[in-house]
Amino acid sequence: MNDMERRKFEDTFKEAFQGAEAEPTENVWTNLELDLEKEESSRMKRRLLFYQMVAAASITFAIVMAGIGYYAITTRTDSDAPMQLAASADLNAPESVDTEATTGTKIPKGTDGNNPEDPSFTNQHPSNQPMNVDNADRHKIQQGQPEAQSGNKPAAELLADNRLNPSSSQSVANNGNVTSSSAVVTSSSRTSKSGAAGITGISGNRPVANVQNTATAGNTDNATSASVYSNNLAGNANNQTIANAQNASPGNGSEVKNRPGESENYNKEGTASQERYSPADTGDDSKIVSDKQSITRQLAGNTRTGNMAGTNSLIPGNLGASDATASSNQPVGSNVLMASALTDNTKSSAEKSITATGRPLPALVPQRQITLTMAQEPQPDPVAQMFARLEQRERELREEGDEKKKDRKDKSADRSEKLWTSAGFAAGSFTNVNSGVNTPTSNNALSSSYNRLASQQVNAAGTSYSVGVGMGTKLSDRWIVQGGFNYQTQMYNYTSDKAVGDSFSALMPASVSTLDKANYTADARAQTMLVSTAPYRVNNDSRFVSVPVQAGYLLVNKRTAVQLNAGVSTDLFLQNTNGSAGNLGMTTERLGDNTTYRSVNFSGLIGTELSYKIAPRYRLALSPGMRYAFNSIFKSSTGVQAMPLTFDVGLRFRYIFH
Amino acid sequence: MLSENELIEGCRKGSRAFQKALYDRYCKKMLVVCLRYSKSTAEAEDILQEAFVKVFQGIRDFRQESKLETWITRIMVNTALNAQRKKLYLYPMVDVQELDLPEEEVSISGIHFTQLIEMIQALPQGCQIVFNLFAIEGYSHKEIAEQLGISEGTSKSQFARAKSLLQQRLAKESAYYERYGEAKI
Repeated sequence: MNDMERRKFEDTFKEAFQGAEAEPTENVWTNLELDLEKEESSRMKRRLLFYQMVAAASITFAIVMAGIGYYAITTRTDSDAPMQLAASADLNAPESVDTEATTGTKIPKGTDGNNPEDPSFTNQHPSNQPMNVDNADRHKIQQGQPEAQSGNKPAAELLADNRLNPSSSQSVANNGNVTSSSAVVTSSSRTSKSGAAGITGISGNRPVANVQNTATAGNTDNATSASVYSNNLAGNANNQTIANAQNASPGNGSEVKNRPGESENYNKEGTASQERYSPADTGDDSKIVSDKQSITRQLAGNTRTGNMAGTNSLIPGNLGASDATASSNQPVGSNVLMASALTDNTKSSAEKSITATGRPLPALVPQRQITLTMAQEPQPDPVAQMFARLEQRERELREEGDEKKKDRKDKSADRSEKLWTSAGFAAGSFTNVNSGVNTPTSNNALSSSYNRLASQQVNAAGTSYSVGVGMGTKLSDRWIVQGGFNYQTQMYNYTSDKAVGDSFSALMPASVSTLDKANYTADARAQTMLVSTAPYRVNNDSRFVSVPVQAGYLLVNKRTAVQLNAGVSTDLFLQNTNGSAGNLGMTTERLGDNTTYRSVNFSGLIGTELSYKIAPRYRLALSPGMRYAFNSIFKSSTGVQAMPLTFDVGLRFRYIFH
Repeated sequence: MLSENELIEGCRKGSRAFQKALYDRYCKKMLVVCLRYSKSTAEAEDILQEAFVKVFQGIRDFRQESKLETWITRIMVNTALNAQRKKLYLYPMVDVQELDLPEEEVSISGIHFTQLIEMIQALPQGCQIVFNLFAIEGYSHKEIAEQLGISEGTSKSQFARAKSLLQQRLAKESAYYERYGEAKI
């Protein structure tokens, strides 16, 4: 056998299978569909796990960011306190201030400073509450400082302003030979360096501060301590640490029974049942006709429409004139049956012709009496029953399919959510980052006060509230865009010890706005009174209208949805109010006035949105987020920079149009 | 009637109706492929089912560089081979001595493909796979050797044995046919 022949063998095999088809059972598709369903559900489980992880990460991120924000705000607030205190000791207006630590411990400090502007101002409380210390208390405290008093040199120097010169604190510790008479309570990291130096001072000398501490707190508690810096007239650079006042917190067929000899046939489709009599059966026509009718009725009663054709096949072999018609109606169900029917037909035609002449002829074949006995009780056809069951099953499956389709439609309707509107509110806190004051240094009191007070104001942290409405739409399955209008309020407090006005009767709280206007021109400076006061709290209230536009990506798009948002907001300044609880007046700047605030500002927005569909058209959303101003809220001409960083949590109620 | 592209797109979207349409269009041809690689109809249907799951999973990556039918056939063959690998591991293929072939070429014309499938199914496991891959799928012995992890010589000897066995069977069938006038099976 050569190679060609060998190849021919393989080719013939190959050709034999070309176009070959074999019908698989129905179970294959059913099982296949089950496999696909399982696969889809496992894929959904994996995706759900992923989304759960993303949601958890998102929440963790939000919590961490909120924590950082809170920490930043509280740290800043703490660090503001000493500065405010130190700020009261102006170089141009030396003051002696008795202080009381936050623990309630009174810590004396130098007392003999003269404040030309406010001679009565002698003390300052760290909590920014004015406090007077009477002479008795001071005496009592001083009695607890024998060593401080025992110094040969009287020291009544005013402390250096830490704010003005933080790197080189003018606070100088007492050594054993120096009388301390001036002290400032400081806290926070700003004092830590000096604090270290102070410790050295203590080790080298019997600290005056220890005595003070003993006199006030009764013990030297490491957890609560206060640093006292004193100025050494002799120029000794020894810091004296008493303590730090800072707490390090933390789901029909028919069946026709035949007698023996009768056959029972089903056509190929199994829808018609046919009966055939033996060719030898040539009984009485009328009887047969009635029998035929009976059979026909029987069949009509038990079979489906298709079976009626089968009854015709009864006739050819047995009936007279009507046989021709009957045989012509013979269904082509079975070849064998056809042949049989034709044979019967031939025979009956011969008999028919004999009967037609009317001559009695002897029978060619002995006649037999045919007795048709029908089944008394019709039994259901098992095939028909099977078909009925199949039909029923089909109907059920069709209904199930319809239900599934309906479910899918409902689900897809759930996911549609093309357009919605929302209303809600948000609350949070803010602090100014990248804040600072950058004004030309001037020797006049107004300028220095402006710098100091502006710094205090921009470093203040506060709370933010907003209420608004919005609209949103889906760009694709996952991407959305939303916008709206929000009315936003930012409130914060800061401490001031100055008041500004044309006269004593019209003094206003010192703020960036009032001081900027007062310091704007020489004339204004000349006409403005800057009055030192006891430290008081200034309440600042700024209002904006913001127009946010955000793009969002749906991480989970179910009844519960998780969404990441990012965008920008255009903030329109409305008004700013500065007021205090005292006798001072209130200043309000409004849009259109010559304000120190920018009329329009832009902020970046980022956040998450966890929402739940509470009804077909309603969704409730919780949206932690962050807002950061791209520019300072103050005009650049003020030289003051404040870029608020806001962390807030919003609750929004969403109505879905379609 | 849906076009091939419409079927592919529908299946890519995961539409069950399109998946059913694709299955209905190719299941009969593919069952023949599976029958050639299996020993029984039930086994072939299992392979068919598993392979169609892979088809529906992988249709997203189908780049339409070949005809859809060719791609599905390849998946069927690979699935069948994976199903048979365990058996091949148990009964590894070895070089077998070539049997004496009948001198005359036996014709298979007139034999229904179902009979041919039965003959192929009656072959030893290794012979069956190698014969299918070489004679019907058109792989070379080198490719078969690489695919099954056997030597080229083993592939050749297995094919020769398969061919020999088939020819013997065909010869018997022909003799029976000549004697009784119709196929035995």
